[in-house]
Amino acid sequence: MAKILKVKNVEKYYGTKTSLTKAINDISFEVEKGEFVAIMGASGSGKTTLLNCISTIDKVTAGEIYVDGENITKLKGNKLNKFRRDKLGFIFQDFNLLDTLTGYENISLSLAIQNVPYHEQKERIEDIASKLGITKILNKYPYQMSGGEKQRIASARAIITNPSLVLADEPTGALDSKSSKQLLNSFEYLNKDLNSTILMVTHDAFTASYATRVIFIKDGKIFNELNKGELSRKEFFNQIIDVVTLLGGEMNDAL
Amino acid sequence: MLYNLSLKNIKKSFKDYAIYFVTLILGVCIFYLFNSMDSQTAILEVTSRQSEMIDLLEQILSYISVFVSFILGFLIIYASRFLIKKRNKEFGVYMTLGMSKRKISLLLLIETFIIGLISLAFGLLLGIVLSQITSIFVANLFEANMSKFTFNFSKTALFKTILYFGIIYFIVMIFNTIIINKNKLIDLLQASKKQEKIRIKSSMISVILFFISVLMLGSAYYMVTAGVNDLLKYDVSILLVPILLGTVGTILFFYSVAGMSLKIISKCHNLYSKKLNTFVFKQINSKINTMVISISIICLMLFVTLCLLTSAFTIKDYFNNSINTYAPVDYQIVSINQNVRVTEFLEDTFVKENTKDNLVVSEYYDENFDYAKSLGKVYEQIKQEYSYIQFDSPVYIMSEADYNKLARLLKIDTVTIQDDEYAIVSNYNTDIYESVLKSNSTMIIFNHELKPYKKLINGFVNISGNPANLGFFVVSDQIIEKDHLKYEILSGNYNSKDQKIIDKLEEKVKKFHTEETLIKDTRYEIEISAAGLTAIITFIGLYLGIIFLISSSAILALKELSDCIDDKKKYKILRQIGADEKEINKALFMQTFIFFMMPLSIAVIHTIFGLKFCEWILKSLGITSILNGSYITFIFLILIYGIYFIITYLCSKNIIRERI
Repeated sequence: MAKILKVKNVEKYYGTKTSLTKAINDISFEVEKGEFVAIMGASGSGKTTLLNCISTIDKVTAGEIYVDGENITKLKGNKLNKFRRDKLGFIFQDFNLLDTLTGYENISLSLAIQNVPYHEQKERIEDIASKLGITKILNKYPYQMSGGEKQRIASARAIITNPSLVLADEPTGALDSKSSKQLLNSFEYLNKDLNSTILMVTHDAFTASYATRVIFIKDGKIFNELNKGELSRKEFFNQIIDVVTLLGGEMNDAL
Repeated sequence: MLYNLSLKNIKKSFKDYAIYFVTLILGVCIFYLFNSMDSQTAILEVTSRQSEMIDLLEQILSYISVFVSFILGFLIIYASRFLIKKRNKEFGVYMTLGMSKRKISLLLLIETFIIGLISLAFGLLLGIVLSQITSIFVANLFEANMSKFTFNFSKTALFKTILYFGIIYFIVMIFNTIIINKNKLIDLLQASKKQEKIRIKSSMISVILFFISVLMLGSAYYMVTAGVNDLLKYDVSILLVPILLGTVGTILFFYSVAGMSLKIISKCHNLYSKKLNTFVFKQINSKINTMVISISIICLMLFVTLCLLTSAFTIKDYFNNSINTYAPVDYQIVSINQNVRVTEFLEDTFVKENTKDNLVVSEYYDENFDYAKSLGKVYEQIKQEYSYIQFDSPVYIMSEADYNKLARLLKIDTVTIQDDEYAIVSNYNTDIYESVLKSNSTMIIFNHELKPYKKLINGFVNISGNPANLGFFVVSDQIIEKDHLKYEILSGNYNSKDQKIIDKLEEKVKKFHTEETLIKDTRYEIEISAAGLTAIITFIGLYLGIIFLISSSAILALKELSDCIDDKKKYKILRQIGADEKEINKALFMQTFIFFMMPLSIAVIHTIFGLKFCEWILKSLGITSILNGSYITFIFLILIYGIYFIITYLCSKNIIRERI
């Protein structure tokens, strides 16, 4: 299978020579097309820093990151924006929807930036909306939507451009458990039926159990890795909990 | 400690304060400039007449200064409210750290004090420097000579500026304290997280209101232009109707225009869904909707500014040019009664030696020939149109020979008429007598039936600063009944350019038969009073105009900048979904541009109609075109408004920029 993401010996340091913080300390892993990977770790483990490096919001100190075979650590300026536009889709904890735009317009904006003509925009949005069950809220403004609805609009925006990789940063962080389940079902659908590759950062074991593979990070290093394989979601969840217990400390809040 | 903290705060947020500072400094500077007339005119060589005018100007400017300080006060309070709002979270943090509201108020007090002190110092410095330059301009306006170029500085203006701005800053402090005390901690801390409630108006209502507003504006426009004669049949207070219609219409317009145009634009799918257009249109829509009243006030202020400046410049320009045309001789004495012969004036040896071109002409009257009669067939029609004219006033008659002699002296058109013809000479409201001539009315003057001469003669008898001759009749010499003499008019020029002789001659004219009612005019007097009048008009226009312009641009700039700070996150999202910097900057530019142009474009449309009305009023002065004045006005507008626009765009670009 094609490798969508290749993270090679990435390091990220903060601070000065005298007080150095190693947020990421030599991490390497790969994500193949059609995978749904969750990265788990406590607060301060470096998982969000890692995501920021992959999404080119932050720059690595050392190492290389390849997306679709292209070394993105060397990109600059408008090439960066173009890379994000064509290759990545984003989903955030606090939704990051534009509050002056309706749900439809929030989604269509990413297509407009790619110069997709109006009629195609409309077709594609209606198609994805029916698949994610958000047709009815397309004409609502963010402040008229519930958290779950907002996040599903954000998900639709992230995958509407058919990105190589969808990056999700604590997507269920601001949702209640019912909305979380609905959203994660949508993610599963995106992954299995639409064959989207998703990389998700979370500290919640339940959320992680929807992934096909979970990578655990502690103190900037990879601690463990779990594959779902043929396991049921329940069994996979129990396995994740075991690792979390092993990780100990702050990760207990994941229960 | 508090003092250090406030100093650091100011340093830290200097960029955010930039617009605030610029506005304060400009405000102080202009306030000083216009109040330091006493020192700027002190170095001028002035006549008593000029100094009267200068005193009047100073008085008027000091009244206007009170009004101006109110406007500036509101502006500064508005601006500081913006700045406080921006710092809500900071205050919240102070409070969680245990700082009392009183301490925070004190902190703000110190900050306001420091900012006030700095802006006052810089503004005054700028004002004093600029007043050296403007004093040249002042001398030019009053047509006075500057004795010598010396440094001028007005203590009274300095104290006045400090006092007025001191009061303004004091009120700002009180307002700030009230605002701080009203805030709750939770609101302060979560101020940035609060989601913007977008007021969505039903588009149907928007469309209806939009048409109502257009209708209101249209009828106001009609009333002050085409319908102006109908309108002024009533009392002058009827003018309140178009003013009210215009104001309410403007507010309704801005209330509905965003929703209305968004509805139209969103139907143009290809435009609306191209690049970041959706975002830009929605941003402008929400911006305009959240400040309908402010934007309407700005629009009306710009409108008043444009009319004021244009009229002021037009009047100034006009007076400067018209004196040569309408006061072509140096002096004129008109005797009304038969006791005084104007020729007595020439018996004085000094006068005899120092004057030339002296000419006496006479005007006669016919008791059976009044203004109403002189209108012939069109009397009824004129009466309807010009209700304010006294129709039973007499009309004067001059002989052809006298008129032609005078015309050669005054450098106006001469006329040759047949014995059975009459000619009309007029240069003010000329369309009245044009229509009389067109109607081919015969007149009976001194019992002779006379036919009209083919065209109206553009001319006058009495010198003045502007055309004021409603009309008199010229007939053949033999028709005149010499016992019906009304006026004897003596006109002449001075022989000398020597100021001392001129002064003495002026004095002679003034002293000539002071016990009798005589009309005496000298070109010199006309020049001085015209210059004084234009100076006053120009100063008032400039003072109010600049203050209005600064206020409206500053409000727009502050709103745009504070929005930009709130919108930082939106631009981050745009970057994440892949918009490149060029597109983002373009979106920001479009937003700022449309936001600035919106009130201006409506104000310009208002102005086009408003100026038509000004033109109609100025016609009584004989001014027929206001184009010259509008050029200078637009230069002023583009300069001040443009500077604010550019600063705003650059600052907002800086705010939304992200460094990786």
